[in-house]
Amino acid sequence: MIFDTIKTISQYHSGLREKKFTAYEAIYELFAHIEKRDQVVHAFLRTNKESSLQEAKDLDIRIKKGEELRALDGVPVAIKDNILIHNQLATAGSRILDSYVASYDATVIQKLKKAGAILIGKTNLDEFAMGASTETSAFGATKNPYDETKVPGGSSGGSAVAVAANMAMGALGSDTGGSIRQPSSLCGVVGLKPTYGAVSRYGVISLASSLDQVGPFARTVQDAARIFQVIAGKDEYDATSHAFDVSCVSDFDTKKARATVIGIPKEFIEGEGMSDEVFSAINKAIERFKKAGYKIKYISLPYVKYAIACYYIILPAEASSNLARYDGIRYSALPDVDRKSLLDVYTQTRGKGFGDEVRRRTLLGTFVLSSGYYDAYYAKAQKVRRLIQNDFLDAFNPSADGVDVIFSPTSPSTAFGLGEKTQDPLAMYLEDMYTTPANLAGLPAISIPVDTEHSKEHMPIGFQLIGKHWGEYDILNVGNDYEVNLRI
Amino acid sequence: MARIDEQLLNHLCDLARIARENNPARREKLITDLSKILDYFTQLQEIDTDTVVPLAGGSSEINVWREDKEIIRDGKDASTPEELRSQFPESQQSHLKVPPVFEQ
Repeated sequence: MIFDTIKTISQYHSGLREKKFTAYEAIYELFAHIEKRDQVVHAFLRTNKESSLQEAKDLDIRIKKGEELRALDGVPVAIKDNILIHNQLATAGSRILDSYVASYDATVIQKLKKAGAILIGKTNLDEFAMGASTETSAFGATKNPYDETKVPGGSSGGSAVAVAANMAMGALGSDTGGSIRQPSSLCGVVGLKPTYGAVSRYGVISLASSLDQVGPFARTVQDAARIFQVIAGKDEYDATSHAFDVSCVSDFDTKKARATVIGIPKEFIEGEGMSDEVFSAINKAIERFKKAGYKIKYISLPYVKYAIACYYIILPAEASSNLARYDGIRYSALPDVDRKSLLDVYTQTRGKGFGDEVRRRTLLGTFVLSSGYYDAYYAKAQKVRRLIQNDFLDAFNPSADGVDVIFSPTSPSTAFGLGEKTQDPLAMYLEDMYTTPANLAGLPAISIPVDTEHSKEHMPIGFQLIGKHWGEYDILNVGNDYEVNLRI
Repeated sequence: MARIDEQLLNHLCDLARIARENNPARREKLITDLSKILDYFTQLQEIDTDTVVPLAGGSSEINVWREDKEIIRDGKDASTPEELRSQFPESQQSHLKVPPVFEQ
């Protein structure tokens, strides 16, 4: 398959320009691979074979005419099924939306289309992106491509697997508490969660609006940067989006990278709950940075240990409010709901349409926002959120000898077994211990595989780089240096 | 701190407009899980937050208004009224149909 020999989008484009292969050949072979491979890993909920092949044909005609290639021309991109594509189903992995057809394109989809990307299909996710294993999907679990008895992580597990199993060159996911970075780590791909506000959330099915951010999966940092450049930007349909110049985020510069000061929070590398393999992989990555001349500074973020407790109050509160719209009156109707009384439509639709984890978090959110408990839980968590953000602002503070980027593991363990944590929600929540702080503080963060070769015996492990607000360039540039020069 | 019991669980289900769970084993599991999670939250009580200003969100933007008009993309309406209506579970003429709110 053409995509087995090509590592980056820029190599793919060179091949197209030099007429080594056509886009049609590449996409045709890709679908043959998907049809076989996805029967095992189940990354996709649906694919768009016909339209993808047509778009590839159209591109070949344009190439023949000598037209310039746009940033993502002909690039097969998979889309998490909580992002709307006009006239396609968008289920968010939930039974309550299983026949919902999107009536418009999300802004990120509009931007991908304009850049020439081929949207090859919609990928599986934990129901409404609630989970860390892609097992809470109403449409069956996705499997880790390196060991089919293990989870791919989540919630954007389908998007991570699509890229890891060579079924897409890039993918979009959403990251509310680690849902791009953790599956990237568990599947051995690169995943970027941008700064809150860098990418429009318009047309993305909301989980927790103050935490959600859309970002790319890719095989390389270079490709992740390229996709990020396409999707970022101010959007009048998302008031929280921010005008931010991303034109230079892929101008990598090794010299500049090595002048970066990397902070390592002791809370993140001494913390309990990290597996031995992750501990040794992380230390290997640190040694590589040190050897290359990076200045490493050990720092402390005293409040990050409260991030999980803080996050699992704020997230359910926002999610229970956002999910109030799934009432059986709008969107899809469930077949077995008695539609005689309004209250019955509400309670039966939501009782039958939501899976266990969504129901649990909706009840939890209702609880922490309810009269009598609001101050002790929700208001308290908002204050702790401030303290966590302040920890980062202090660590980055240039006038207090601050660091430029912060290094940590992405996930406390490698991929765990299917079904291993489904009966213990709290154990599943602890998967997010290293990733939620960046969402609470609104910071950009990326997960990059420590090593290149992965197998059943050597499951992928990622490290995380957290940047300053709007500091995507710093984490991408350092990440690229690691990937290209330090990882052997 | 709060304890989740049968009564509170029913109250939360009613507030959240989710049908109450009738299966006793599943109810028990739900109560146990929610209680364990709430127990985990108690660690926040050890932090002194008296003088801390709450952080509501990740955005430093201020609200911006835009004109309320149809979204035009690629020279046409991003979605037609028919497309939007086709997603209604029940409709009558061009209206969304809702079961009676007040019974006669």
